[in-house]
Amino acid sequence: MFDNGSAPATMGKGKLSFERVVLTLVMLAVAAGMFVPFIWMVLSSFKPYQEILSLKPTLWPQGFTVGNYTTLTSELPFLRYFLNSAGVSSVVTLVILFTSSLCGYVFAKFDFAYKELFFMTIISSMMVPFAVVVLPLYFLIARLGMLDSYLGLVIPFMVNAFGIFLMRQFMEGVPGDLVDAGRVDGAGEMWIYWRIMLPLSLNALSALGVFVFLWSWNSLWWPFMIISKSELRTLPLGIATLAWEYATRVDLVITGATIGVVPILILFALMTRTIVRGVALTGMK
Amino acid sequence: MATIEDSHGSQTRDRIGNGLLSRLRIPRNAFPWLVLTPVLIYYFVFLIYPILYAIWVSLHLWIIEDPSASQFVLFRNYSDLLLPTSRFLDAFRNTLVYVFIRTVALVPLGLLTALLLYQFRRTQRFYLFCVFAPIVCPSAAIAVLWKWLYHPRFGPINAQLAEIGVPRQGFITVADQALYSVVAVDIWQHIGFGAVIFLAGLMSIPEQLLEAARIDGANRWQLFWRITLPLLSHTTLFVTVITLIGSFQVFDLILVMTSGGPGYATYVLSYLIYNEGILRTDMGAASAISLVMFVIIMIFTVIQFRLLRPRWEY
Repeated sequence: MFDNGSAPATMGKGKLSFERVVLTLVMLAVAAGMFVPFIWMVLSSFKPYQEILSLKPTLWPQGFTVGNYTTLTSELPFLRYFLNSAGVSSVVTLVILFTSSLCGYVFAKFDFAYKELFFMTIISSMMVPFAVVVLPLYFLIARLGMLDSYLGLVIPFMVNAFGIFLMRQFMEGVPGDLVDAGRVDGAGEMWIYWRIMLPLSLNALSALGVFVFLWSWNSLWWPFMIISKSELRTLPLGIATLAWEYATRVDLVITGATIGVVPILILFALMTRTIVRGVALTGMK
Repeated sequence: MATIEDSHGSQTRDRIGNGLLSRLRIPRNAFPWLVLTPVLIYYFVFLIYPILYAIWVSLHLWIIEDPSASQFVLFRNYSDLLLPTSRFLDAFRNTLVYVFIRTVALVPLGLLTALLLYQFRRTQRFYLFCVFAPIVCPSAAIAVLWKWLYHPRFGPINAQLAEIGVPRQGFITVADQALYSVVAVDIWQHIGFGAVIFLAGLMSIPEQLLEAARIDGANRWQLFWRITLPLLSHTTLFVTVITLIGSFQVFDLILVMTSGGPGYATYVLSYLIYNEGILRTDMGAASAISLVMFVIIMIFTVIQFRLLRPRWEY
């Protein structure tokens, strides 16, 4: 998918037709509509407060300054928020990749009693909206004493039904001979999982990993529910807090949003196709 | 890959070696249970128990200080949602408007964008990047960005409007525009999702099919309506249902952009659940609302599973 291998049917024959020019202009307009707000945001983060608030907005910063960044990081620990998000999202991603692939292996390559029943039980949880479980989960985490803790951010998201579904589907395509050969040679199941199944599932794992990481990195509702200590905030929660507590300091708010957006856009620019494929395959949001 | 090729060979036993993985001797028929038992216990604690608890709470007059002393009231919490003091009907209507506009806009916009992207080959990656960029960004940041773009006094959108002689608009700060302004941001953010799904669908249409129709004298309009669109019907249904389900769950944008306001103009079900449960600590009402939402989403999910079934089976 999206590998540019096949030429689209309606491609021009290489000559610059009128139609081609119009199409390109429309495409450029759409692309600009999607991307110009980000450019405007990044540029604004380098403008002094008065310039942002002027009634005739500028695009290019007239009084270029990095003051917003120094003020922001002295008001709120944004670097800490960034690291919190990176840590929590990485752990959640690794744990989900591990549990999904292990369960995927079991469902794909083993026969046991009630297999399909267990599978359907897990899969049916995909239809439960987070809004339904969020309050009971909140009270459960509170009773476990995990409010305001990293553990509380990770624990509810260690198993992912879609991940199990995806990995089972993928691993069913791995030839059974490979698994049997390993077993004949006396390899343990964990060895087969780790040395045969995982290396052969890298495509599915990377797609799932991209999806889970982005979803975890961007999530706001759960951190918002359980985190009240400033130093434990994730980046989206930091940005939201900034918008509430410093509502009138638009220079700081815009700068915070820039910090939240630019790293992920750089990552996206570096691996556009992998990320697009991961999100499209998994049907994020 | 080397490992796999080797595992056919006779040296596999040497390759397996004496590492931790191979010293872990798990009998074959015990392995599934060893993996699934913790997973199923986890599922029970973090998913099934919360749902059962929500159902239980929705049938009780819940007392926060001592939940075990809660009084059974059957459907009182549900019927109370219809009282004039409850915000449920407002939120329900807002949610339906939100879901309707978001779905009706996103499906055709996604298809149009995909048709456009399809025309470009060498530069497609760049355009794909632009169109998809808002999706990978945190909704919190998107909300903050647009809150400022929408600013009634200093925002660039109003500055542009003033330029062409249109009076300044309140956008998210006035009740009759707020919901539409938020859904517009949501649509802007998610056009790329439908676009890439449709693009994948377009790319899977066999070239010969279109070529054959063209030889038979079909013009482009006929090509699109008679061949491309019918072949994309499954994709269209998939995108529609996914978009519907996603639209019901909007929370982040509402929370950051409007917090339900002004007044109750942008209360949606998910925001009302949070508001009733946490701010007003009326867990009974919150649980009842969440279960109503659950039933609605379940209906659409069942439709989605039906649609996906052909892809599951081998």
